[in-house]
Amino acid sequence: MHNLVCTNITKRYKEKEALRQVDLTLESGKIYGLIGRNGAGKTTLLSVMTAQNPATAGTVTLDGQPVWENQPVLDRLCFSRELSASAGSGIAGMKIKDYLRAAATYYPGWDQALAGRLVSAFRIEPKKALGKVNKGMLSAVTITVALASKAEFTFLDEPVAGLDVIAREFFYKTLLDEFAETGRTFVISTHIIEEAAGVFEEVIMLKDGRILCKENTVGLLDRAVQVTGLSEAVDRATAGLECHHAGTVGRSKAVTVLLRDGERIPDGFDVTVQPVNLQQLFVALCGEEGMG
Amino acid sequence: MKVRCWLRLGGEMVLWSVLVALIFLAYNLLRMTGLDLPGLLSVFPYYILFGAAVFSALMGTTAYQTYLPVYLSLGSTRRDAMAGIHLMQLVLTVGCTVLAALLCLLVPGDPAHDLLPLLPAAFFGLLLLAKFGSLLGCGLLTLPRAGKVLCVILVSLFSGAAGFCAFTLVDTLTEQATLSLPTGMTLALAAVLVILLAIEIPWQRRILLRYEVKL
Amino acid sequence: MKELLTEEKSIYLQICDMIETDILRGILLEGERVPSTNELARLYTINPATAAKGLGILVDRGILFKKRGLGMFVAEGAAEQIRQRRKKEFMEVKLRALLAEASSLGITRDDFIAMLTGGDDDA
Repeated sequence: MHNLVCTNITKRYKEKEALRQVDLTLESGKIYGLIGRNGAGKTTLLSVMTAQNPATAGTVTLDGQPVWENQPVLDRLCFSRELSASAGSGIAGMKIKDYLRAAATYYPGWDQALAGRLVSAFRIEPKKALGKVNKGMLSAVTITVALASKAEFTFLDEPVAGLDVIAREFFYKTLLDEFAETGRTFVISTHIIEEAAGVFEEVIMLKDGRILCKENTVGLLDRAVQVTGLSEAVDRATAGLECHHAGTVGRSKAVTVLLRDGERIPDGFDVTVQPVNLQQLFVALCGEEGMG
Repeated sequence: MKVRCWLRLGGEMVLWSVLVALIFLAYNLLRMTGLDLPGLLSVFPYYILFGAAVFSALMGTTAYQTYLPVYLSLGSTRRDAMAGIHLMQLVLTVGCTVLAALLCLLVPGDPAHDLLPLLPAAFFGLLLLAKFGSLLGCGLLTLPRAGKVLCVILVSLFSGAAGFCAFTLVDTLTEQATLSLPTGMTLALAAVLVILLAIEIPWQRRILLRYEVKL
Repeated sequence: MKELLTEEKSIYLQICDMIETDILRGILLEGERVPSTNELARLYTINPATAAKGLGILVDRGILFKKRGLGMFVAEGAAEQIRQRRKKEFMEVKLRALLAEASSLGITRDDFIAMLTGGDDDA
């Protein structure tokens, strides 16, 4: 068991604090989902964890060794970030094959055969420059690097942005195959929550630079329910329970409840109790007034 | 130390410099009346050095804008990236200077032979240009918009001046077939190089330690 | 086996249900190997740990048993066991819920019985 541990990570910019006292322990051998709204700090957290962004305070260690400026540790990590090669950006002129060749040089475990298979499967055109291909191909390149790196801890930031649904399905299946074969740790940040929810063994929710929860996905969803009915009935049925995102329409009320150990919605109230999926739970926990 | 990618870039720049030199040779060929092969070959080393000058200066910005973020994003340490940039410039400079020296020794005729004693000055001059490019690259990373605009203007001016010098050089060589530098030039260039390094290294280190990768 | 996953129930419980249904339908026979966690993960695009949880529940119920190094197999008498359990669940959970809803709608027990016997005549 190897642990990547973030201790008290804070990232401060002039205008705001992107990460606030984040404590996080990632255990090896799992697929984690990192979900949060835009600006919640997902990319910043992944950058700091892989020493691509210096933290303002706090440390990141792998098996007790610091990640910062530590090549033997960096060799075990891979952060495949979202490539945005707009016309003005520095990497727009770089050819895909040169980018892949650099990746092969920097990742000690690079699997060229796997990279080749993924390039064909995603129909990547290696001779093209990064600035001249569509978003789908950029995502495909990101995914190829992440999977072929064979890194122990692999982080993917929005890997499926730009992929059509069939390509996304292919990604999830390839990811699960790779996980089954190697047991590598993956941390995937995504906006397309429900589609990926089944793939995550644990889910990490980030809100305003803080970790809202980090829990086994199945366990978390087992304790989340939606209670609807007449407002008074709902209030009585959920008294003393952890309620979120209450909304009323006329005389009816709907609320998302996170049951703690041993709690349940008592019988005898005329309310509908339904299971909640990850996306719905995320909206309930991270949504805001005015935007839903 | 993981600097293979940077060394490879340096090697590629040497090839590009040779290519530029060949283009100038072709230009000369077109302007010539009759084929003067020894004459052509004897200016070849000058053109290689010119190519090296161009790429030394240009690579400064490309290194910081393109390759630095990419290699850091692939897991390079900042220390290695900094070493890599210096090594890349060294490979380009040494590679082209050695090539030029070899050509000077192999090719008969005055222009080529005259170049040999000038090579040390050329070596320092090229490194100086590389440092200039690097400082420009650093500036582009850290200075606010006004600074960036200034850098772009400086690069354009430099490119214009370099182009002008190049054509003057071609004309001078074809007419006079000789070139000489004032005494003490080599030492002066070396001294300026040391000064630029004294500015570049701490500034570079500071920038790199705070650098946030964005692709 | 490849039914679509729904959102009404936890994924691992749906895996349990699907395997049990397959056993009842004779798709999986007693003594046969059931798909492994990795195979299920790939089939449904879910995490192997989730699939493992589902299989674990079936092992606890005695529907499946584990052969070291070979995988999970359908236990003897599994089909009958499943049938009994589902019958019990039908009576105790589903029917009870049906009666509760009927009563909240004001349908009396007699109305209900009449509907049941009336239905038999038509069938």
